[in-house]
Amino acid sequence: MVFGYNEQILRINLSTRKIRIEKPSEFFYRRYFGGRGVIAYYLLKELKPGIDPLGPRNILVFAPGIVTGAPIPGGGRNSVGAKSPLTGAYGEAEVGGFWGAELKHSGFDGIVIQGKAKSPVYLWIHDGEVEIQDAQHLWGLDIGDSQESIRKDVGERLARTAQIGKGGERMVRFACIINDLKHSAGRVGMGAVMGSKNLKAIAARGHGGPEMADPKKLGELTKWILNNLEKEHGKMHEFGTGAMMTQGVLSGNLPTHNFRDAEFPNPEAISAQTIKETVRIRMESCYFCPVRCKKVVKIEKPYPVDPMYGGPEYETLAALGSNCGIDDLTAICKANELCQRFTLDTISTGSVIAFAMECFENKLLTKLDTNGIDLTFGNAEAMLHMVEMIAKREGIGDLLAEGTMRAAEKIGKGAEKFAVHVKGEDPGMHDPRLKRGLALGYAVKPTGADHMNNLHDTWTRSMPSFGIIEPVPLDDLGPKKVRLYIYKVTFEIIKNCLLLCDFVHWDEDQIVEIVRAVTGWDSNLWEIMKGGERSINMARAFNIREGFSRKDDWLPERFFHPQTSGPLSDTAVDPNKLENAKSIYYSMMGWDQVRGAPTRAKLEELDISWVADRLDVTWDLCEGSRQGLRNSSKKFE
Amino acid sequence: MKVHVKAYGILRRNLNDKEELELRLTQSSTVASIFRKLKKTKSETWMVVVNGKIADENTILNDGDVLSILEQIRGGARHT
Repeated sequence: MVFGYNEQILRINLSTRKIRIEKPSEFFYRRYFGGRGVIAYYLLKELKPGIDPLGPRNILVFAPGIVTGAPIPGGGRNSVGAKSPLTGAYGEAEVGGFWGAELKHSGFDGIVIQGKAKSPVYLWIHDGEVEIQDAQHLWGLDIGDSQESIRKDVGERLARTAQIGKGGERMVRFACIINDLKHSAGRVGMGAVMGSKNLKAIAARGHGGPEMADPKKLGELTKWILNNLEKEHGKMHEFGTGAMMTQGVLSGNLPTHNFRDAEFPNPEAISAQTIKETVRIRMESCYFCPVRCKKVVKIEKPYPVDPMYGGPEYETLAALGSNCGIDDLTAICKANELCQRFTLDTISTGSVIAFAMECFENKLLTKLDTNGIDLTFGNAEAMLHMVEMIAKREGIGDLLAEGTMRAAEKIGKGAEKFAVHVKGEDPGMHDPRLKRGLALGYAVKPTGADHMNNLHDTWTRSMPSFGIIEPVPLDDLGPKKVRLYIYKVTFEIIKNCLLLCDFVHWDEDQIVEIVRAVTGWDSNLWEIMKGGERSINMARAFNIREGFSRKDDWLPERFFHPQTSGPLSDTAVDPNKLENAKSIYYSMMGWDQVRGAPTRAKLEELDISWVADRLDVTWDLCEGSRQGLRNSSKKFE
Repeated sequence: MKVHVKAYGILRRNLNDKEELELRLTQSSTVASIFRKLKKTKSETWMVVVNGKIADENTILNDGDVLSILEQIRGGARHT
């Protein structure tokens, strides 16, 4: 008997409408766990390098983890992955809510979608059954309306949904997929891939799910969270994220005017405290979670905001607020609601608008380009217009829907210097000029400048239980910081494989206890950390195969210059130190210096020799570098 | 010499729930001496801004300096 998973992965080819079930062995689950591990497995095995991310040959993988659906706080999550249309690199996003647990309870550990439907469809998965349903009547609807319609169609008012709105349908390159109307698999355009397949939604309902090996232990762990809610999670259940806006300004970490400035006079206007006092009607939770950190806001005027779509997180408040110079809370809440309706990633939406605002300020864009809209920093109405225009690809929205990197290339005339992105992905709302560990983290992450599973070294300066006892200084970018980065990120990434929430503060021993209690395996931290390292190497391998190399692990020019005023006006990332940190990082990881490609030895050590077979890699680091050089010279011939 | 210490968010508990404290220090004291005075617990990580600029534990303080202690938690595990 197995515990914690269903031994079933659903395979759906939308072109042929063929449905089959794959039954992986225990080795598969114990080696890859779920989430990132499973996504990287399928992308490496089944995608040919160089395919169009928005073409039918891309695959879209919905991957819960072994912990998803278990009765444990933070266990309601799933990952979604594909080759990213925003970056052309490995693409992955995580999401909470209830849908992931529902999928697991309906009998499946993942879904791999291939091909493209001839006309819009949705999937209805219920207690082991799978149906492909017509969705022509849903195409173009906001996700609130389509969820209601799907629930009526299938006769199940508790059906959970993962959906796209207009943004995904029109293949906005940073469109997201939203679970249960409020929870976004936000980054790198997974919603655009779903749209490219004519797949509107996946509805799920299940009454079963895997047995747990030790339910009593899971109960004890849950009780521990309940008894330590305030101590371990501070005010998360009261405010959620966004409760430290003033501290963000004082430290220079609150992105303002496209990461250019530090002056944001009224940060409290957009803080979680103000939200609580003015527009919030309640806090909500995800599946089985007592932390309850999700805000729900309701506004009548000036901008009506429907509480059905939840409320803004810190990233949204900063991206659509301070980074656009906007302190109008109601407008930000409205923009958040629109992004949910249309399924747009709020970080990239805010970032590309901030980029366009800086272009407008520098006359690279004019009112002729913007349909007469005065696209200046601080203009909340203009920001709201842009959100709608992007989702509908109207006017300049069609250009911005391509993402910051492509929009800058198209505008030209030096617009690239205002384009703040890594590999095409806009950064999270955290500044590497303060959090120096993020300089390396943003540069080398396989998905781009993603703030999650990254080193926020204002907070993490040591990890005593991992052997990093002496705190590493904030502005350090030497070997000690690289070591801290590697340990921290390897630990963090396991949450994207097992699927656990970052906002439920399990420590490493408790995570081991959870894995043992869910699966019955005799796992320890070594095994789980190796799983994390394996998943990092697999995502790296995918990018190497796509032609990404050392030069792509870099930061936008902006972060090499100080902010115009404030706490970070005399400090910036030193490009030489970053280059050096990359060299140290590749060496510590067992990757070569030219491409940052894993050696065969590293991949064999991680028990994934099949990945080495699919790459042009060697046993030896020096030979790897020589091979990398030969490959790069070939590329430019 | 006198130094003004400000705290934000939950770190106010280290200032007896006040927004601001005035501390008397000997000349050439560093930020680390403030930490010692305020009995910072081992598990807490603070970020420090002195007169509007990012500082660290070794920063030497001067009379009249304004020092802000900030928390910079970002969800994440509770390793410090």
